[in-house]
Amino acid sequence: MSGSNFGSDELAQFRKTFFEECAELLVDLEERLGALHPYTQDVEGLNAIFRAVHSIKAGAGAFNYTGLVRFAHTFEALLDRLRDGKAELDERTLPCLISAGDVLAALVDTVREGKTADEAFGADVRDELESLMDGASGGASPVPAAKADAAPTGPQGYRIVFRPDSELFRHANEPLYLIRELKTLGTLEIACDTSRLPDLAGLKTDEAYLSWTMTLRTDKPRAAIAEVFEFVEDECELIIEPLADAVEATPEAVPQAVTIAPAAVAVPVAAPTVERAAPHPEGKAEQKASVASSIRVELARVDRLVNMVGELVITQAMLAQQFNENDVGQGGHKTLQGFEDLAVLTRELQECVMAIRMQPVKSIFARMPRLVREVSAKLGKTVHLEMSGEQTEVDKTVIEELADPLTHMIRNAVDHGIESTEERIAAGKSPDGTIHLSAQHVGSNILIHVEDDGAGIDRERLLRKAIERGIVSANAKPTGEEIDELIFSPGFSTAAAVTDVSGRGVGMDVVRRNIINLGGRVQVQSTLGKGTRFTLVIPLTLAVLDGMIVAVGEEKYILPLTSIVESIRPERGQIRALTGGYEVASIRGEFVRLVHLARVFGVPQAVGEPWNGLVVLVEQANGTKIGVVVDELIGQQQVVIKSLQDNFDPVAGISGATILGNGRVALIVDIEQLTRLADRPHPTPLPNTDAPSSLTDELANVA
Amino acid sequence: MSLNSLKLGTKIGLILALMVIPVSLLAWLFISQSTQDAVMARSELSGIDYARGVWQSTISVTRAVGDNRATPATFLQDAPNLAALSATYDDSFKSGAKASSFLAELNRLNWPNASIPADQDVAPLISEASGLMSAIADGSQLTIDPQLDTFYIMTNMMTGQLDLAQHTALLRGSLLKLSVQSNVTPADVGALRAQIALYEDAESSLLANLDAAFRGNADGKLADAMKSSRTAFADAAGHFQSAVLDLVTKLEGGAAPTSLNLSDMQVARAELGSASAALWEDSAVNMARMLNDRISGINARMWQMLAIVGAIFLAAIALGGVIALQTTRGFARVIEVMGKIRNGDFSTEVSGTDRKDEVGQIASAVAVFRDNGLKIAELTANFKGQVDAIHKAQAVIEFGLDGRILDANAHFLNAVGYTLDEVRGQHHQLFVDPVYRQTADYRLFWEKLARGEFDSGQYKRIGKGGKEIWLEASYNPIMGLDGKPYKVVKYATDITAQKMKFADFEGQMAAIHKAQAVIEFTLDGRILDANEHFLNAVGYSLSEIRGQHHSLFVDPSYRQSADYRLFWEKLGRGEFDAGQYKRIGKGGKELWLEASYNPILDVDGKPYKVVKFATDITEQKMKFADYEGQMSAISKAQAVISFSLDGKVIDANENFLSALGYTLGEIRGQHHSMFVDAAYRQSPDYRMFWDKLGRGEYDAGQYKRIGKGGKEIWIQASYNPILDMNGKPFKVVKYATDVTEQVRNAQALQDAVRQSQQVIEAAKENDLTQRIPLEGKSGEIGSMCEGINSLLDTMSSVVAEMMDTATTISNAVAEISSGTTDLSQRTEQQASNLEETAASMEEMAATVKQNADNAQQANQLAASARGVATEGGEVVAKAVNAMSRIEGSSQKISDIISVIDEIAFQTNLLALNAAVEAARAGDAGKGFAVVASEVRSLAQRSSGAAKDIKALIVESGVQVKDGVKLVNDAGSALTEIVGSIKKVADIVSDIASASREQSAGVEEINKAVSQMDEMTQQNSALVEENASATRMLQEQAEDMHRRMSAFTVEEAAPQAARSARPSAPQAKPQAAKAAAPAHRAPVKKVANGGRSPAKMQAELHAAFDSDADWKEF
Amino acid sequence: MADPQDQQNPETTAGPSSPATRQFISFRVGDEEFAIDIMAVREIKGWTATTVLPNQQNYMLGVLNLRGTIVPIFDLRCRFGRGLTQATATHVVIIVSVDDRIVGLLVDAVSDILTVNAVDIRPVPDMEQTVDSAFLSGIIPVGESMVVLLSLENLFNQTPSAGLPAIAA
Repeated sequence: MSGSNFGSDELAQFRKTFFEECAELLVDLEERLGALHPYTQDVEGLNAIFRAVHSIKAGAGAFNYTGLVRFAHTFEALLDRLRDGKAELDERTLPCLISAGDVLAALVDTVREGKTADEAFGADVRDELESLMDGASGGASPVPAAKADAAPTGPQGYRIVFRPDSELFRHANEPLYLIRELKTLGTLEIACDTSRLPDLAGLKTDEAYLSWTMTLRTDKPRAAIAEVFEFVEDECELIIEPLADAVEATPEAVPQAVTIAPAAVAVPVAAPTVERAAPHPEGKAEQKASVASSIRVELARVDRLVNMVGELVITQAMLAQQFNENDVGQGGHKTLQGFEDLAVLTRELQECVMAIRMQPVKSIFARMPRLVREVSAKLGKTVHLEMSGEQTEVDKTVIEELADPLTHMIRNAVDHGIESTEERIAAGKSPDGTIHLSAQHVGSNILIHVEDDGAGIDRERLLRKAIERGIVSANAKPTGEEIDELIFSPGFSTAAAVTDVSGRGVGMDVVRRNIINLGGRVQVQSTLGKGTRFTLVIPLTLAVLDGMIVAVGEEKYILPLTSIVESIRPERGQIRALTGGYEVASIRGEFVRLVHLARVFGVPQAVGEPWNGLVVLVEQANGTKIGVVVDELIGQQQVVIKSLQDNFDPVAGISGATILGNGRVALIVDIEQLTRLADRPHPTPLPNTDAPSSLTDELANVA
Repeated sequence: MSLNSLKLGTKIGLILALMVIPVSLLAWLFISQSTQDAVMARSELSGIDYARGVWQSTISVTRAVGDNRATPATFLQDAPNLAALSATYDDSFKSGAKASSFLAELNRLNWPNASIPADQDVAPLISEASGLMSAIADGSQLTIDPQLDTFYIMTNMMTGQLDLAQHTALLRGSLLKLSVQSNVTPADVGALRAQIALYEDAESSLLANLDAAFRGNADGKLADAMKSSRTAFADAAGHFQSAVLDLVTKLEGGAAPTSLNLSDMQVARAELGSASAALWEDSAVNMARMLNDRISGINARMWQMLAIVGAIFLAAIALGGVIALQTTRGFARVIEVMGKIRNGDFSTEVSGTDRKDEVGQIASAVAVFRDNGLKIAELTANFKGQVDAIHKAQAVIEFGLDGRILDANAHFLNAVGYTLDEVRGQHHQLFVDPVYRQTADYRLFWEKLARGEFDSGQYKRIGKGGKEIWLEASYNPIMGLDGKPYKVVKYATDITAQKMKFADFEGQMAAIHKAQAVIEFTLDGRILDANEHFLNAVGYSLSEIRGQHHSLFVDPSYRQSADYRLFWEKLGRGEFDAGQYKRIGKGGKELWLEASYNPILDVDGKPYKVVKFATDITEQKMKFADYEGQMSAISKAQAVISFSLDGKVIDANENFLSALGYTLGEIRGQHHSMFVDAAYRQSPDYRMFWDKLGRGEYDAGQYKRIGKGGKEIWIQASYNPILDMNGKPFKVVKYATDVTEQVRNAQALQDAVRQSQQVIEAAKENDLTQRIPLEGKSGEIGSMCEGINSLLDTMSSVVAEMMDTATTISNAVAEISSGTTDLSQRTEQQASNLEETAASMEEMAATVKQNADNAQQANQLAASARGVATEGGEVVAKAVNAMSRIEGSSQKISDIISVIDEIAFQTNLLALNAAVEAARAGDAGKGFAVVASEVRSLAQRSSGAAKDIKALIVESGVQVKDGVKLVNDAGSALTEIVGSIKKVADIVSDIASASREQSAGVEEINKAVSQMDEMTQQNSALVEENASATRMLQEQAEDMHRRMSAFTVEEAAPQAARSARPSAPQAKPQAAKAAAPAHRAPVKKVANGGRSPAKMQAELHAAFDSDADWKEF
Repeated sequence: MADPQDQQNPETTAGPSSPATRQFISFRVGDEEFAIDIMAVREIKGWTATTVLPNQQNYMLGVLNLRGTIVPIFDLRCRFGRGLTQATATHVVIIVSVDDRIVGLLVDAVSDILTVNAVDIRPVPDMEQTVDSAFLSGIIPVGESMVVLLSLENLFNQTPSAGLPAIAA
């Protein structure tokens, strides 16, 4: 299944590089676009944007992503005009540029996923770009100009059919190079025939399946074309024939075919994509030399490094433990010292490695001003976004996962949080709303605040709504904080009217779920009429976790330290059994539900009663406290989180695993799932495969 | 300060004073408006002043043009000081800028010092002037002049004339220019024509304005005043126009310009200039005049208006004064009348009632008021009389609302014993006791009065010296006219005496109530009230019965009866009823009341209610019933008879009568003695008996009495003297029980005992033939006698049997005797047999001894065998130990091999992994795969070898185990052998000792046999003795027989023919005695032994079941 | 361990000398011999105690730490419905890679590495088997006996470890 084909590997590598570059360029693009203001001549900014779009176009051209190229070109043309002062950056142009940026990003995404973009996709934006260009120049846009240029240069045309044999590849020839060579001769239209491609399963990596039909418009003689194929003549089918209706037919006859002509200028730039990969970051580094010098490393490598260091930490701990277990006597003293030094070093190494994965939250914060601007414009509000702590660093994975929730919350803040201008004036507030977005490190967590000075949560209304929807029973008397929590309930939206910005009732519950998936929590504080503050508490990294090792029977489990409130050994009198198998403990007047880890996980030989064992009081993400009954606490330890799901299915109640100092795997308890697990009628209802029904029978049933 | 405190006159004055304010305000407004108009007119005058300067300067310049004679100023008498004018007015007219540019233009022309060349273009000057004029006109408000005449004049002065001057100058300039030209083009002429047309327009509009001014002039003076100057101007203008037209016509007619004579035109122009100046001046003068007129007009109007206002105002004041005076006077009269009414003089006439105004109405009201007053006065007099009467009859005291005494009349003072001076000003509490004084009630009492509420009742009050007084009084709050109380009058009657009397009654009643149950009914029987006693008695609470009918307390049957109805009818008639009544209490409880129903009569003597006094006698009643019951019970059970103290029968009950067989009639009145036998009757005892009873002493005992027909009767009786109230006996009651039967029985018993004694006595004498006669004996006595008889029967039969037995024994003894002899012979035989036995026993003893010696030897041998066997066991144990060590070593080897195996296993795994890696490495791994394979085969071989060794070790282990087992078996076998040998030894030694014992035993036997031999011989002797004893026994049997024969037995008598020994009578009972227990003993034994176990069990069970104690146990 | 077919001839150990030969690891579960493709094998190691995962199928013995990777271990015997293996130190865990997942199979012993000509692999005969034929991808004759070729993909794909009870129910 896996084979070795140098060529395709290399191509894939290039492609990957291209997309990585694209991602960076798009981020830059986004940031730059966000910084633009109407009627200002930010030449530097426009240049940067132009460069980004241009680079993407060039790369896309190299990989023959025609849709992308076409769009990027139009985009670039308008940017060029703006740069030269031929067009003005006005209120119409700027939004158009921003949406063009979006379309570009979407197109890149599409091609990265190997799909072909819908022809209509982004067409409206492109049309608008073009219309802006027309309006700006009042005359011929560069595109028609280029077309006009192209037409006279191709008095002659050739149709080239090129079908390489497998032999061609064996001799280390690359059709791509040949085609690029052809491009230098004139305007080239390429159509690739993939009809001979077999299913992936039947694909032989050293076979040639593709053939190309190209239309070249050039004033060069036929010989020049033949010369390109000189070395492969014997290893391919090659047809070169002049076009009968060279001049007239082409533009109309192949309207859908990709016209590379406009990109002609770009080709020389685009061609050496491979080489570009290197110089580009250098240029970038130069540009940002004052900030920090960096190298680009593949994320997978960093992950591997993190893993390895994690292993190192574990191995070190194992060694130390075994060393301690075996009484070493006199000579052991020095060794022990050595172990301690090693421990310190490993810990530092781990921190360093972890830091590699860290990225400033700026990359997501940067998207927010634009979001606020767009949404507020749509809603007819004026909202200022203030940001602080953009440089706060957090794990890359976390950053990726954070983007969606944060976007949602900001959008929510603008839509629901900030009142309409009239309401604000009526309330004696400044007509302009303010949203403050900030990030900071607190311990091993990152704290993100999204704070608005809007109307705050109207608890009465919220409660009423919740009762209407049956989320809360009508006679419940929740506290204010509990009411606030309701906004995290699924299917809940307080917006009176459903706007196209938000208010469809899917929102904060998704936010909370995302954050919980990150091992974090969301809290809300609100003052009616003053505003609302959401606080996200998220672990800095998903790779390590501060855990409490607890023993249950023979097994050892890890409880996340952040969830733990306290540990107690209750008196017998504090425990009360309720109907339905519930057990509660009265802890300082508060009734806390008990969950026996042993029962939930079906661990034999565990201490049965809470007063003989320990109750670890943990707080779930929604603030509910439960008491986890365990046998004893072993100790606190920072553990490296391993995914169970890499090689196995998710296990209920277990969020992951780690490796203890003795090399044994210990499971990390998922606090959130515990109550649900405990509610199951029978903890281990799985059928026994030892039962008479043999596998054969089972499979027969399946069949 | 309230308005009400002001007199009417002052009020009107105040109104007038207030009126001054709007009037003055209006006047001031009017004056300021007029002043404004005047100021405006004055400002216009100033404007004209300024404008004149400008005009004169301008017109002088225009006139000077082309006139080489002089400087412009020369056309004026005095050159106006423009600078001064400008300084004066520019600020107020805001015309500074225009003025300065005008002055600059003038300076440019060097006016008024230089002459002006004919070709000088003065148009700019004129336009500057025109601008300045407009500014002046605006600034001086000329342009907004309200009057038509002045407005048009002003228009001319400010614009029209300048306009004309301009066009004039332009025309002249054009003509001058043409005049020096060589030829004239038609365009030039056209232009000239156009200028002329403009000139004409200016001129005609000027004139039109003037005419409009004239028309608009109010007094018509203007037209006259300006007629001449207008005419002059019109003419001059016409001249100029015609002169110019003339010239133009000439030019059109082709005349050479140079040929033109401009002098006419020049003259006309000069003329026009003068006329223009004149007109302007005239206009100015007239304008000034009109404005001055206007100013003075305004002032005049103003003063006129003010005068009118003042006059009206004064008139208003005067009118106010008059009204005030009239009204005040009217009121004064009314007030006077009211004053009189106030003083009670209702006779005064009220004047002014005829007036229609308010005073009149008031006066009429006062008249009515006076009439009412008159009526009230009469009523008051009436009241006063009544009040005085009350005062005479009752104690009256008046209090303030605060309770202070205001006044009191003599009655009151008498009642309380105070003088008026002592009580006046004191508080009412003086009269109440200190305790009540402090109570909330007392406070409330006064609060109530203070609210105007009435209070009356009987009050206990304290007079002087603490004297207690009861007053029947009413406290009457007296209301003022406003409906509020202002004092309290108390009318009181001293009821102390009645109260005392009442208290006496009340005391009595209370006593009754305390002692007795009291209930009150209406005449129809409804309950009004009941006291505690009654309620306790019936068990109801008051609320339960109040309003209920009396029938509640009677049983339903009685309730329905006519009696009951009659009962209440009787009470209704006022009749008294008393007695013991049965009543029903709550819950059906029956109670008895000793009660009296007392109809209470009202004053008219009619009953109006019924009071029932009752005593609960239920208990006594019950006791009585109890006694009665007891008595009847006694009467039922016993015979009762009562006697008078002298013994006469009073009464007797059925029991008594039947016991004695009499009827009551037969005995009543008879003396008691009829019941006693004659002897006793005569005895002193009997007399004493009755004496005793007569003393009231009690007597009881068993008495014999004679019933009817002499029947003897025994009674167990008590004579009870009954005491009267005084403790004296008045009758005797006898309670008796018939005990005749018992007495008879006792007698029969005595007979039987006596007879028995006789029979037994006979039996003692060996006479067993006597018997107790049984006739007349029944019951227990009979059966006892029967028993004795049968005992004697039995005894006699026993004696007979014994005699039989004795005979039998003597026969048996004879047999024994022969048997004994036989025994004697056999005993001798046995003795000889025993001797032989003894001899053979000795031989056996010797043999046994030999045997014992042999056993001893065997014992020694066995001991040595045991020693040998024990040694063998130890050796085997050592072998076992060695074997287990071998086993341990094998285990170690096995462990080592396991390690080797483990290593091989790991190596194998390693090699496998290497192979896997090699396989994955493809061709590159081929070489490695070979190595891995070899390693693997090595590992497998070592594993195999290890396994072989392991197998061997396991095998050797098994063999070792077998060996160990064998050795162990041998060891255990040896141990068993040792055990067996030991057992054998033990047995042998046992045998040895047994043999010894046997030997000893045989010896013993030997001895025993010889002893037996001896004893046999002794036996032989004994048998001999026995034989002789038997013979003796035979003799004794015979003796017994003889003794038995002594008894007289009816049937056995013939048999007893044997000789009896003297001791026979003694022996007989002994034998009988001995026989009895001997007989009984076996019976007892049988009784015990015959009880089967099963039956015993059953009995035990029964005992268990019946006896509760067992269960507990 | 003593394998009756002790392959020592150089042909079988020569590795993938020609494209027509494939290599298999053969192992024993109970009395039966099975084989899997050597390319799927990542490692072979001795049995060590696992950390039990709560509430799982009983053939899922728990997870092992394989140099930092958490590897689930399945009892093949139990998977075939023949009861749990009483695992000892001489039992062997074959770590295999199935569909990008790394899992461990507990077997009684690894027998050999078989190098087989592709043509020698026979299809599964249509006969009664204790193991469902869906798990079998072929039969390799070795000497006089035969080794059953297991299809790991089927073994794990057809029976999603959590989905089985639902289907069986």
